[in-house]
Amino acid sequence: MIKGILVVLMVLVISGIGYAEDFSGGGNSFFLQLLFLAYSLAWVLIIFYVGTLYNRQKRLEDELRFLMKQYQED
Amino acid sequence: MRTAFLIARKDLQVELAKKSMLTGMLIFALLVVVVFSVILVDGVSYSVFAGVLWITIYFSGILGLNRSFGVEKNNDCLAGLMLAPVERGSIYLGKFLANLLVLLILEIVFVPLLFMMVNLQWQGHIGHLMVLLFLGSFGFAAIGTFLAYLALYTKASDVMLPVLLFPVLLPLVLGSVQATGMILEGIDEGFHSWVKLIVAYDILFLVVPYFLFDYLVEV
Amino acid sequence: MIQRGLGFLSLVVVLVALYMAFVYTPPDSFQGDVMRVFYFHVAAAWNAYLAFFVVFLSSIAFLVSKKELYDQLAVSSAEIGVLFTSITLVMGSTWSRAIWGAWWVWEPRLTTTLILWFIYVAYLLIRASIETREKGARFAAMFAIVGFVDVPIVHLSVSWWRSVHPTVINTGGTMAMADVMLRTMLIAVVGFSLLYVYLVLFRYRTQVLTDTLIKFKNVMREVRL
Repeated sequence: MIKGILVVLMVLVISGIGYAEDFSGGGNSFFLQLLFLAYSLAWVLIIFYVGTLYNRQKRLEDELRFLMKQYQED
Repeated sequence: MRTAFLIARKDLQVELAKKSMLTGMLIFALLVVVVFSVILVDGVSYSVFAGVLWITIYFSGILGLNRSFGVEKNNDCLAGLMLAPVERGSIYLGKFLANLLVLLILEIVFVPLLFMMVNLQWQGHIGHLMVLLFLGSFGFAAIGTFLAYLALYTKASDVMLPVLLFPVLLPLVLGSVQATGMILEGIDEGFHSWVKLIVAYDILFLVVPYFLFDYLVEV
Repeated sequence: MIQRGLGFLSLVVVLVALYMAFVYTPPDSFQGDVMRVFYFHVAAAWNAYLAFFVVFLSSIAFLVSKKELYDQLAVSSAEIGVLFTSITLVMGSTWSRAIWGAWWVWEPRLTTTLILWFIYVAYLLIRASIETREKGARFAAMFAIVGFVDVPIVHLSVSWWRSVHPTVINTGGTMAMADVMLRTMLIAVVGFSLLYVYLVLFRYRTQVLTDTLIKFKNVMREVRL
């Protein structure tokens, strides 16, 4: 799920940069594009970070559980 | 204090006996200048000259800093030094003094050569330039000695030192380059506030590491 | 449980702030719609500085008391700090493209934030590259103290440096704001602060798990021997 959101956001971001560079005349629609770009990049960073952290925690928990079991068997 | 002087004297004696590091640093510094001269064939402005001067000093200084604790780590001399019944702060001060002196010796040879190689017409007072060279090296040696110790225990210490050092060093780089440019150009206005900033930096980053050094080694 | 609640609360406040930033506030008379970047940009910058202040305090506490808890707090906060500094830079950069016409401008506040980012990335690197867990914690704490002390001087020096070449850039933070905008900004700051606390707790839990795992492995090794 997170990966999907990230992909969509990244596509938007890249098209945003491309548009912003094309459209150098200024004006409010150009501003809107940049506004959009700023917010999507910010949320990409946050979601990406939380996603990585979540996966890491899960892996650690699994490892800990596995070790516990092994410990009891020993 | 006496311990600090003893450590500094020992380091300098070793260095002056072998001269391997000083020679290396000097040759490196001159090479950097040659490379810059090749790039900047069309002559240099005062600010570019000041930048080249300081960047070269700081880069060669990093070579020396990497060695200053590195040599002690071989044969576990460092552990012995840290376990010696002396105040740890004075070990820091001793290493700082040695690094500062090595840097100053380098500058005595390098800076005149740089002026000869680049052939720059400048206005300011030579005494100001010497004071500034001293203050800039002081701050660099102070924070550099401390961070060199921290970097020593990382996996790739030679790479880690610049990464740790340069962000923290930025105010000093800016200050010394700006102030040097002003001397060369003969501008007085604003010069003193830069010197004050450098002095404040020097004091701060000698005192903070001095106190922190006590927390470094705990067995 | 508290963590869940906090996460939910921060989500709600951030959503309200987003609504306010995009719908409730009118576009700025001078900057138009791109002004809306500003609300969350300020909130992210606030979080970045808050995070690094927490790193500074907990590093001192760790060196003095040697309690693992403070170190775990410091590393969690540092990582979140780098995250929000990155967000600040990215949002500032797009805003700068619109208003100043360039993606990056060497303006004092921008430069200070960039240096801040470098200092704390170095902080995370030094932790990661020292083999002994305990030594890494101690050295990183010292670097955090030195780095934090450095930030005001960086700001001062960069301001002086730029004042040598006067630029047109004084509009950034000093502009007078209408009440509506101020309110929106405050809500955004509150929302992001809650998010900060939530994320730090989340990251803290990871750190505790990691450390427990290391200890557990050591114990098992001894038992087997």
